[in-house]
Amino acid sequence: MVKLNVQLSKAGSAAPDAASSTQGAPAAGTLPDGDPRILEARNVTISYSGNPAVRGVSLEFPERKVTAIIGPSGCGKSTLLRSFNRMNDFVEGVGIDGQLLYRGIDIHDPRVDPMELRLKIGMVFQKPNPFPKSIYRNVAWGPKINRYDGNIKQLVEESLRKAALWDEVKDRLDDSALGLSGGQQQRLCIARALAMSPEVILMDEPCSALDPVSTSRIEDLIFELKKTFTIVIVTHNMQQAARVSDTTAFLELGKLIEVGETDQMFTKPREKRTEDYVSGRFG
Amino acid sequence: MTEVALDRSLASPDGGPTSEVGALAKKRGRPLEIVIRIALFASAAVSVVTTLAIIGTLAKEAFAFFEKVPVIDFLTGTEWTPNFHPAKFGVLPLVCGTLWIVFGASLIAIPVGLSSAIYLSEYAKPRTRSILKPVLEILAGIPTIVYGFFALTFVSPILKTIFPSTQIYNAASAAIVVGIMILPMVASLCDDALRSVPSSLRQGAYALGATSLEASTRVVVPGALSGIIASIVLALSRAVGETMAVSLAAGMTPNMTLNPLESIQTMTSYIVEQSKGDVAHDGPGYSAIFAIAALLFLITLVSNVVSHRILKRFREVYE
Repeated sequence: MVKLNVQLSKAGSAAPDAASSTQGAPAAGTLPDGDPRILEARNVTISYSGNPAVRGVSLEFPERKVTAIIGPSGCGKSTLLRSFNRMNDFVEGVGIDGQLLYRGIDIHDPRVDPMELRLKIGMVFQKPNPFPKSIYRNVAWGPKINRYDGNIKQLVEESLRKAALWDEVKDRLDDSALGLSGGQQQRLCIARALAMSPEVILMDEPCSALDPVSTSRIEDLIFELKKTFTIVIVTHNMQQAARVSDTTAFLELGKLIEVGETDQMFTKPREKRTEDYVSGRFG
Repeated sequence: MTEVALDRSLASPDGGPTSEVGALAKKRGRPLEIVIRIALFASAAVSVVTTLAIIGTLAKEAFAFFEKVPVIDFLTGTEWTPNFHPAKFGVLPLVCGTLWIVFGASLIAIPVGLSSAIYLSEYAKPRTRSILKPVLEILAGIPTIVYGFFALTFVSPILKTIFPSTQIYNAASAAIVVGIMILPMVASLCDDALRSVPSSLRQGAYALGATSLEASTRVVVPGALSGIIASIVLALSRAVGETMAVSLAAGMTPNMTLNPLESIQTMTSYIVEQSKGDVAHDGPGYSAIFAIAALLFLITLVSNVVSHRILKRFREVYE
């Protein structure tokens, strides 16, 4: 059906060109050139010990766009998001049906190395989780373990600049990351993800632990980042979805209720339930 | 209206509280409360008082010993011949013996203990873990005399096959079994330290394309380093105080040697030897055990304090 992209295969991590693969070679997938679907879920059902959290969801994620997944708590939006970089592999008793595709490659193909997949699809978590190391080492950590052979110092600076954090930390790169404010820590985590030159960044409610000022800085940052990266953001904050995303998908009880252009979703949704939710009648 | 106002002004002319508490007065008897309080405090005080009493005894007897033997001679002397003429009380051979045990034990307990802790906390499935951890704890519950016997009858013969010059009693086999003995402690305490590192850090590492090995050695272990060092110091201070196995397996020969295959004597096994009663209880050889006990106490106390400090000062504060 789909031919496997060698870039994702297991041999990659030991091969001499491992470093270059972290550089994010563009679109070497199996889809025709210009196909904008970088991620796709086909009839995906995810269950924990037999209890489905995501039920038969099919979704496409266009390249260099921001897609927001919204829905009430427990609707399965985080579960769906975490399946794209196979972070659910670490959860005991999780079962996935259907297909998840990255550039047309089934990410559960036995030949796919999840480590390589995660280099392409980075992630920012709900609560900032910087390593208990210096600011510099937090950003340099990923490139180092992946044997990045370029100029790491420069990469750290670039990543921190892209994450709009450089000016605040450039004089204290050797200080512990745990001394930063919550918003700075979250931007550091974004910088850490950017240092891997991923193509997709998954954001799991990245602002839910932050104050309004930090939140708006992250939102500005998302706006900037979508020029280069594809972003999928899970949020329970509808204003945030409306502000930052191009496309919005609404999930309820694990089912995809509606997906469409963000403007349309918030002004004239097709489904009654979407309208109830975005107008704040429940959830 | 005026009456009420009048009453109130009578009750507290200065506007402050009345002298009667009325409905709020104590009704239940308090004596039992006090008795229980005292009983509980006494229980808690027992251990403190005992410790102080032991320290007092040690100090008193040690001072008596140091009136006959100068402290400097005791701490720097390299000959320990308490029952010969002339009697010499240089504690270094015994300290050296103890150090051999601690050093050898740490060679085994640190790498194996830490590796098992990493396995238990980072790799093992919950089922495997639920079997392994109790087994480790059983290992910790084996009486130390059994370890000594094991060293003497099993480890030493093996050592002798490999190194023919091995003496029947030797430091190496004692150190090996003491290492095995403190291994569960290292593994279990390090496991606790590793598990206290929040899983969000592991996920952060995995999300950057790390393997389990990279996540555990480069994020989790450094994140738990203070706890790991503290557990190692604690376990080694147990090795310092370990008595039965070393008395049985390491021998009774005060010996400042660099060869672990020779018989040695540790501080603790000297105390055992002297306490067994074949020496007069009034000679300096007997009172020397208090000086040694005081020194042992100091060493373990200092290492416990150090491990406590490490835990407090270098612990990463995770939310």
